[in-house]
Amino acid sequence: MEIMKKLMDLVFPPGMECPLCGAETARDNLCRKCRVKMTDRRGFRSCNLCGRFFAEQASAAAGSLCEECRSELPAFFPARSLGPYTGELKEAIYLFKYRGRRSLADGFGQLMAGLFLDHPIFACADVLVPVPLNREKILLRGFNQSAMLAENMGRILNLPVNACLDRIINTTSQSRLTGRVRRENVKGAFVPKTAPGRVNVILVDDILTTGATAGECARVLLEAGANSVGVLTLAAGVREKSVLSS
Amino acid sequence: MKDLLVHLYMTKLGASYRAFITHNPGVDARLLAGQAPDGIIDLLTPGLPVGVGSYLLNTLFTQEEICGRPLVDGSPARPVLGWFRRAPAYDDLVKVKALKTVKLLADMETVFGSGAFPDMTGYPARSRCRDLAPGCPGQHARLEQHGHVEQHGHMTGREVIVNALGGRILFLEELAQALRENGAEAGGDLADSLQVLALQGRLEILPSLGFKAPGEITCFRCGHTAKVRAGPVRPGTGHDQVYHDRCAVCGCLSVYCEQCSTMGESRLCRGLYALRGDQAAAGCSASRAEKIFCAGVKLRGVPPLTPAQARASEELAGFCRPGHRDDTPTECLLWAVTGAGKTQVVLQAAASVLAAGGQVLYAVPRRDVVREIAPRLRDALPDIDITANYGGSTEKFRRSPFVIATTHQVLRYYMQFDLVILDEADAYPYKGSELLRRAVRRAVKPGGYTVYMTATPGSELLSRARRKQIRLITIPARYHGHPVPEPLIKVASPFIRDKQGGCTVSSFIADLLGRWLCQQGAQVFVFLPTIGMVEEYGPILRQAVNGFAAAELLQFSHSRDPLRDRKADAFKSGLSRIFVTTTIMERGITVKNANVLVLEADFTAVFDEGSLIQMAGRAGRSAEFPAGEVVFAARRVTGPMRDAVNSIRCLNRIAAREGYLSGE
Repeated sequence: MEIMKKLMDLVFPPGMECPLCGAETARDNLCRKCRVKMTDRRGFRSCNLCGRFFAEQASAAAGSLCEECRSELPAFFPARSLGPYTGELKEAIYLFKYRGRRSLADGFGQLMAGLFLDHPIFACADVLVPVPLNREKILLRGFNQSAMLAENMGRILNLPVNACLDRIINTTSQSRLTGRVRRENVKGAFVPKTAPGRVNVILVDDILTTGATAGECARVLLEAGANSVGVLTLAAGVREKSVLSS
Repeated sequence: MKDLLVHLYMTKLGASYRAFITHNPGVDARLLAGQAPDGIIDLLTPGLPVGVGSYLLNTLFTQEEICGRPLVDGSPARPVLGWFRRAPAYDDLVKVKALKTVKLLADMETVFGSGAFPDMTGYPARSRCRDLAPGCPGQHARLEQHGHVEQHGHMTGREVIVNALGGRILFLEELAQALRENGAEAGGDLADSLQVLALQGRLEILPSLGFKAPGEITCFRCGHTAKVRAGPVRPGTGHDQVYHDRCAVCGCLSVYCEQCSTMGESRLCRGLYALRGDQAAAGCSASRAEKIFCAGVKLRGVPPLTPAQARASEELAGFCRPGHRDDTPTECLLWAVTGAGKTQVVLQAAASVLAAGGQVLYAVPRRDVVREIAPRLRDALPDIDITANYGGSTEKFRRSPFVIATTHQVLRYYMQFDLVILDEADAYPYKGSELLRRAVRRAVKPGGYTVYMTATPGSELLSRARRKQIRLITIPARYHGHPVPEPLIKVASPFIRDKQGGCTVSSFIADLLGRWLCQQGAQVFVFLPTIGMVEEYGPILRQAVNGFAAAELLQFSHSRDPLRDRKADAFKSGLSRIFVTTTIMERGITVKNANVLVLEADFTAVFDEGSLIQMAGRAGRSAEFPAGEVVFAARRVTGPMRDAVNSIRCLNRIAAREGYLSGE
C-alpha cells in the first residue's frame, strides 16, 4: 500500500496541507472550510466604528454604534476584523500567537487582504503600520505577529509596510484588564520612530479587544502627522452587556 | 529564548589537533590551555547559528578529529607509498578545512539565498589559547568554579548539571528549570558550564533544528525531516511544517519546526543539550544512590491476580529480565480485552526493573489519564518516588526512578529508561503521530524494553507481532472472569425526519432507552460520531426519555463543551443516567452498571474497529454488573462494525477455551 501511495504521489503530486486542519488544499493557504470558519460572523453584529461584536439579540438595527463609541469617539476610523474573537478563530489565533505557528501568517494575511478589499473605505490607504511589540516580548515569542500579518497583506495588496512605531514601555498583558485600565496601561507606551508623513495609515494588529492599544497607536500616528488611521485586525472582542443603538 | 551562535574552530594541542564548536572561544581556550599551555586556536567561522555550525563540524571533520587526533599518523610506514604520503602539517589542515567551510557555506547559500550567513572575511583567525583566556593558563581549580552552579549536598557543580540533564534532551531555559526543580540554582553563565562539559565529552550540544544536507532540514528534537524545495527559499513562507524567516533573536535567516512548536520553539539558532541516561548514571554518584534506594521495592494493596493476569505478568517479567540475547525482541505488545486489569499486570514487571536499579516510564497519550493513574501507582508502590509529568505539572524536570508522563512530555527524555510502558498505544494523539512514536523510542535506553498496552492494537503492531519482531502477550479475559459483552447490530435509522424538517427518535431507540432506564441503577452511554450530531440529537434524545424522569436524566457533552468535566462527574456519580457524547469519552469514564448504545455506527470516518471495541468495552466492567448490553445502531452494517463484533467474540472464545471465564 505504501508503494502504491508513493507511486500515486509521483503521478499525481499531493496538494498543499492546510496549516490549520491538515486537509489537502490546492492553494498554498488555508483550506476552504477553514477560511469559512475564520470569517464566520453568524449570530453577531458589529459596531460600525470600532468593529467590536455584539450578540445579535443584544443589538438593535444595522448601522449602529456601541455605547463606548457614542460617549467617546476613538482616534481611528474605522476598525474592521475577520470575525468575533470566539470559537475556531480564537483557537487559530492562539496557535499563531502563542504556539509559534508562523505558517498561519500567510493564510491570515490573505484573509485580511480580502477584508481590506471588501471595504471601500480603506481604498485611499497609503501604508500599513503594524502594532509594535516590545523587544523583550519579541525575544520571548520570537516574532511580532502584527508585523508578519502586515508583511503578508502588503505583499498581496502591493502596499508598503512602515514599522514606524516603537513600543517604549513593556506594558503588562492587556488580556486580563478592563477597558479603562487598558487605556491607562498603554498610555505613552508608543512613540513614532520616524514620521509617517501625511498619509492614510492602516494599523494592523491581531486582536482588537477594547480598542485601547489601537486607539493609542492611532493617536500617536495622528500627532506625528498621519492623515487618517484605519484599523484591520484578525479578530475583535465580543461585548455582551452593552447594546448597540442607531 | 536565547540564541546560540557558535564559532567552528580547530585547535592544536601539542602533537594532536581537534575541532569543535563554541559560543565563547574564551571558555574553550581556558580548558585547552590547561591541556597544552602553548596551544593555539584557529577560528574557522564567525558566530553562526548552531544548526549551521554543527552541520559544518560533523560534515568537515571525522569523529576522531572532533575528539582529538594525533598530527603524525601512528600506523607503520608502508614501503613505497609511505614515502609519498607525508602527514599533513597542522597549518595545511587549517587552510584546507577553511576552504571547505567556505565552499559548504556557499552551497547552503544557494538554498537560503546570498547573505544568509555572516561575512567570512578575516577567517580563519588564529589566537593562542593563553591570549583568549588571559591570566589563567591551565587552571583546573578555577574551571571547577566555572561550573557556576551552587553546590548541592555532596555533589560538585558539574555533577548537579549532569544529574539534572541525565537522560534528557533540553533547551537551555528548560535545563535552568530542571536545576531549580532538583534543588540547585544556576548562577553565572550556564551555557559556559555546558560548553566545558561538552568539550570534555560529557554531554552533547545539538541544534534544535539542523541539517543533514545543505537542502535537508531535520528537527533534532522531534525528528521531523523536510527537504527545501528547489531554488532559494523566500523568507516568510512555510512548507512541510518547516517555516523560513529571519530570526528575531539572532538576526540570521532561520527555519522553524512547526511540528513540535507546542513544546517550545525549535529553530536554527537554538541549542539543545542532551545526555544519555546510561552516561549520566556512569558519571554521577546521585544515580548510584537512587539504585540503592530502589533495591527493596514491593507492591502494596494490589489485588491478587487472576489466572489470566498471572500468566501474562509472568511472561512479561520474563521478557523484561535483564540480559536478553541480541536476537530476541525488545518490544512487546500486551493485548488485553477492555477491563482486563492491564495496569496490575505491568506493575510486577515495573517493580522487578526498579528492584534491579532500573528506571521505568509509564507513558499515556492523554493528560487526564496521567493525573488519574498517578495516585493509584503511588499507592501500589509506596516506597518509590514517582513523578507525574504532564502539561501544567510542577515537577516536569524532577528526577525519579518511576515517571508517569504524557507522550508529549516524553519528547524531553533521551535514552533514560530501562522499561517504557506505553498505555493506550492506539489512542489519540499517539495514534498516527510519528513525532510521538519517535519520542517514545528515544526515551528507551539502548537494550531497554518497551511494552505497548492496548485493547485494540493497530494493524502495524499486529503485523509486527505476527512477524515476531515484537513479542505478543495476551489477556483474553476480564478480571472478573465474565466475557466482554458482545455488541448487537441493529440495522435501523436511529432518527426519523418529517417533511416539516423536524426530527424524532425511532421507536426502537426510544424503547431500548426506556427498557434500560427501568433497570435498577443502570446507566447508558450514547455515542455519536460528531460534535454537531451531539448538539443536534442531544435535545431530541432528551425529549424522547423525558417521560421516564427529570430533564437532568440525560446530559450531552463533547470536547468543546466548557461544562464537560462537570457533566462527566455527574454521570460518574450517578446523578445523570444517560450520557450522550462523542468518542472523546470512549476511554475516560468507567461506571459500574453501564449499557452502551452507539448511534450512526456506520460513520466509518470516526468509528473504526478500535473505537467501536473501546466503546463496547464501557459495558459490564464491574464484577457486580458484568453483563451490560451493547447495541450498534446504523442504517447499514460496515466492515469496522463486523470486525469489532468478531474481534470481541474471538477473544471471548479464546478466554473460554483457556479456561479463564470462571464467572459464566
